[in-house]
Amino acid sequence: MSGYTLQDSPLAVPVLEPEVDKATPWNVIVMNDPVNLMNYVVYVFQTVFGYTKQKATRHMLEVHEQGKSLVWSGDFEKAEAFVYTLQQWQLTATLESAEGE
Amino acid sequence: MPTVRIKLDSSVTAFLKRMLQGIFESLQESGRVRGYLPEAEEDQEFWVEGLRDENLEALDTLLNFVKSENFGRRKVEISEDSLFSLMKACSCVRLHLRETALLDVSDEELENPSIESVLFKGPQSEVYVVYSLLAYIQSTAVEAASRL
Repeated sequence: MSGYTLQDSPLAVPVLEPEVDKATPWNVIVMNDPVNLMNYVVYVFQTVFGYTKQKATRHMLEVHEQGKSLVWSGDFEKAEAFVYTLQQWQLTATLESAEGE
Repeated sequence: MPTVRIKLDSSVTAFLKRMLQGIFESLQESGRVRGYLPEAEEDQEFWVEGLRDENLEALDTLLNFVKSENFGRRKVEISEDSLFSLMKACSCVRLHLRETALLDVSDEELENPSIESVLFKGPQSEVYVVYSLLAYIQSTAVEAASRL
């Protein structure tokens, strides 16, 4: 991600606005934690993303064994909404630009 | 309507109600976010407040569930939305306990609990029992949700 832009009109009060490259694909990453139960995490992936039990279990095992799993990739707004939903379900979820891979 | 049956001795049920009430009071103002937060300050506020409201609603559902007449003995009827809230609340409280009273317990011990974990933790033992009971409630709720 880049830095910040300043509104440069002499009459305007400078406002710092974060600049997000929304065109780039974004990855939704779920991080491991020692608290959430395996069957719960599988259920959350099935419910939030509509994944089959097999696919949800694969992602859960990836989180458990490798510390994190890329669970979804796509446009910024949708990715951000998924992260919010996963946090509502008490999972540790982050958003990363796919460009940095 | 989905049903959840939790089998517990009445003394354990009373203990759980008492402990949860105390934990909820300490959780009221907690708005901790685990992971991503939007960059803009106003978006962050909206994000954190939204999650806090959701947590409070879920905690309320858990408390009502535990206080319901049939809890610990018979099946408790619960709406689908409340079932989701119940699952979320169990995780919310367990995460809170892990980050506070169980902070010095190793990840390995938390992921693979043993009877020694409950018996030899001194002042932490009550918290550990609540932590384990919530895992039992959540697992049972996940099973009920999976049948829908």
